[in-house]
Amino acid sequence: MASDSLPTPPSTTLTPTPAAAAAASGSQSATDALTPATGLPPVPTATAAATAGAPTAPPTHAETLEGLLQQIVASNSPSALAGTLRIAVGTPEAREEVLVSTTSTGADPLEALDVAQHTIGALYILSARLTSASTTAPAIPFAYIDNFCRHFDPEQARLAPERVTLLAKGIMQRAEALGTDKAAIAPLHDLLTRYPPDLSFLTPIHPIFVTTCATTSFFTAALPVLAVPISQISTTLCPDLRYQDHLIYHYVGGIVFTALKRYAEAAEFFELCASAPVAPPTGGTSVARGPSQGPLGISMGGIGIGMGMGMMMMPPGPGSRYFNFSSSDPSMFQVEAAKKLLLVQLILHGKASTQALPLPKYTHPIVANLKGTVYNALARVYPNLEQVHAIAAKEAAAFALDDNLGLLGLVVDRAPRWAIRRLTETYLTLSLSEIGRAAGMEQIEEVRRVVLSMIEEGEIDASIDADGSVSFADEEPAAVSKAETDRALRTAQEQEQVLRRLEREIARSKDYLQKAVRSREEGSSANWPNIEEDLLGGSQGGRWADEAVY
Amino acid sequence: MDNNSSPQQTVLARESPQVVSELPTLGGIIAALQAKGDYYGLIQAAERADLVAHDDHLTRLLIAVPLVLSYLIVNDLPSAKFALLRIPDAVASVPLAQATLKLFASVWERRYENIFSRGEALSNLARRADHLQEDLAELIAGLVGTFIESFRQRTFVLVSKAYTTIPLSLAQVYLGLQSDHLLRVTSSEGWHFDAPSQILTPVRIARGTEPSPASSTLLMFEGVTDNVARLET
Repeated sequence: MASDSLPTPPSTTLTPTPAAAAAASGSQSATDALTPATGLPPVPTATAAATAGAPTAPPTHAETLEGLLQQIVASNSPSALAGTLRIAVGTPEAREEVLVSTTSTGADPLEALDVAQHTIGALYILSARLTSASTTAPAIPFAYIDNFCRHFDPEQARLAPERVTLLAKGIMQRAEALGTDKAAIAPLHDLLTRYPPDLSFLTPIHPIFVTTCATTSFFTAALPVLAVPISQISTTLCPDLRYQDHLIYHYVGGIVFTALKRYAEAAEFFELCASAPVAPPTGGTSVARGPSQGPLGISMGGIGIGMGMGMMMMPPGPGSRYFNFSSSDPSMFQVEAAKKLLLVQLILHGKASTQALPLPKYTHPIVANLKGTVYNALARVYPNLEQVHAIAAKEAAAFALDDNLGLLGLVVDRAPRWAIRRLTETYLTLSLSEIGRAAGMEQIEEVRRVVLSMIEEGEIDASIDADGSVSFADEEPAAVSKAETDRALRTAQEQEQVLRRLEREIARSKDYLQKAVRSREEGSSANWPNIEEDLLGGSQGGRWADEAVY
Repeated sequence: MDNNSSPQQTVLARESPQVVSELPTLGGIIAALQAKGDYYGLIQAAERADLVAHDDHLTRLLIAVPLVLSYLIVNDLPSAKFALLRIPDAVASVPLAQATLKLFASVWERRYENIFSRGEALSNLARRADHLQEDLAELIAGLVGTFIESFRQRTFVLVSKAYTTIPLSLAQVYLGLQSDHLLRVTSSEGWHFDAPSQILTPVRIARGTEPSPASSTLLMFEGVTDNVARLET
C-alpha cells in the first residue's frame, strides 16, 4: 500500500517557472503589493495581468499553481494561508481549475507538500482534484487519500471546513468511480474521527460515513461513531452543516442498528430523526434532486441487506420531497423514519407508538400521525397472526412502495413470538402442540425451536419437560452484578456531567440570553417556556438552511 | 449429516500468486490473535483487511472465513451474516465459502442437528485443500474447533436452564455428542440419568446465579444522590 503513495520530496525540489518566480519575487508591476494576510506576493491572475497592461500572455494555470505552491510552502500562518486560498485566483471556478492542474513540468503539486505541515494547501488541492470533472488531472492513488486522512493536521483543517466536506464527498465519489465503495470507509472514518474535537460534534461527514458503511454492508464499521451521541452543533466548526445532515445521519443510523438487530438503538435513532424540529421556510432555497440521487448527491441504491432486510437508504419517491424547504412541512426522512420506527417497535415491544409508546409531544403532527395508513392498521392487529398475515399480504405493495417490505417480513416473523409471550400472561403450563396452535405453527419441532430460542434470548422464563409440556414462570428480575452496577453508575455520572456542561453552555449562549432578556423586557413570564422551542425551530433556524457553499 | 464436498474439490481453484504472497502476513496476525484468544482483536484486524481486499480476489474469502468464524465464536450472528454477504459472487461459489455459509445458516436457524456435522465438514475441507497453506488450514480448523466448543458450552447452559427433563436422544442432538460421552459430561455436572426411560434431569441453572451486588459504598451513594439532585433542579 505504501508504495502507492505519492512521494513527499522536500519542497526545495519545486522549481518555479519564470512567471511564477517573478510573481514570488513580486517583480511584476501588478503584483507589487504583498498580500497582507500572508505577507507573501499574491498569485498572478489573468485579470491582474490584463489590468496591468502586461504585454505578455496571462499566466497559465501551471504558472498560477506554482505561485500558489510557493505561498503554501513558504507560509508560516495557516489561518492567513486559508484566507488567501479562499479568495485566490479570482473566482471559485478559476481557483478550482488551477488547483486541478499540474506544474509546468507536469509534476503533481501534491508531491511538493507534506501532509501534516501543509495541510491547508494539500486539502485545497486534494479536494479540488477529487471532485473535479477534469480528465487531465493526474489520478490520486487511494493510498495518498488514506495517508492524508491519517496524518493531516486537524487544527489547520478546521480553518477550511468547507474543503473538508468537499474532501469527504470527493473520497466517496472517487471510490464509486473505482467501483469499490468500501475503499472510502477507512479514510472517511479517519477524517470523521480526527476533524472535530470529538465525535459529539455533528459534521457533514457523519451522514456520508454512515451511508457508505450501510450501502457497502460494513455495518459494524459505523458502530464506534454511532455509539457517541450527538450533543454539539457548531456552525463555527462546520458552517456548511445542513439541517438534513442530522436527519440523514440518524435515519441511516437507525437502518444500521436495524440490520444488526439492535432494535432498541434503532428505535432511538429513528425517533431522533422523526421527532426533530422541522426546518422553517428559507425563502425558496429548495433543492430538487432526482430520485436516483441520495441526500448528499451520492447515488444510493437499495442496500440489499438480504435475508428479509431489503431497505432503501433513500426514502422512496421523488427526491425533491426531502429537500423542500419552501414550506414548514417536515422532511420526508422524518415521515419515513416514523414508519420504520413503528415497525421496529412492533419487533421490539409487540406494540407501537400508536398504542402505548407515543412519540415525543413536540413531534410534528404530520410525522406523528400515521392514522389511516397500513402501518397503523398493522399495529392495531399485531400480533394476531391471522390478521397480521392478511394485512401483510393485502398491503404488500404499499409497504414495498416505502421500501419496508424486508422490515415487514421481520415484523411478521416475530409475530408468533409475541403471540407465545402473551400466552404466558394467562397460562402456567401448556403443551408444545397447544402453543403451536396459538402461534400458528404446525410442526412440534418448530414450536420447540422457537420456545427454546425465546428462553435463550430472555424473552420468556419457561421450562420444558421431556413430555413436551412447557411451564411458564413469572419473569425474575434481572440479576445485576456489582461490576454492572458500578458501570451503570459511572455512565449515569458521565451523562450527568455532559448534561450539566450543555446546560451551562446554553445558559451563556448569545441566542438564549437575547431571548431571555427580550422576554424579561416584555415582562411576560409566559414566554419563558417557549425560549428553547424558538431557538430550536424559530428565527435561528435559518442557520440550518441548505445553502450552496460554492 | 452433510455431505457438502467431494475430495476432488479444491478450495483455491483460482488462486493467484498475489494471494499467496499476501497471506502469510495477514495469516500471521490472525493466528497470533487466535493464539491469544483475542477474537475481538481478530475481528478488528479481519474487518480492516476486508475493507482493502480486492473484490475479485480470493484473499477476500480467506479474510472472510476467519472473520465469520470469529463472529460466531463471540455469538454476533448479524455481523457474521454481513461478513458472509460481502463475499463477492465470483468467490462465493468456492467450496470453502459454501461450507462456511452452510455452517452459519445452521447456527442462524438453530438447526442443532446440522451444526456440529457442518463444523466438522468445514474443518475437514480446510485441511484437505490442496493449495491452502498448512498454517492457514490449521487456523481455520482451529477457529471452527473453538466455535464448536463455545457453542456447545452455551447450549449446555441453555439446556440446563430450559429443560427440567430431556430425552437423552434430544440432548445428543443439542450437544452433538455420542451417548456415552454425553453421559460422562452430564454426570460430571451433576445431571441425573434415568436409564429405563432414557431421560436426563439437568441441574437447573437459575437466572441470577451471579453474586448479588455488594453493598454500595457511601461514596457511591453520595454520587448518586448528588447527580439526581442536580438533574432535578
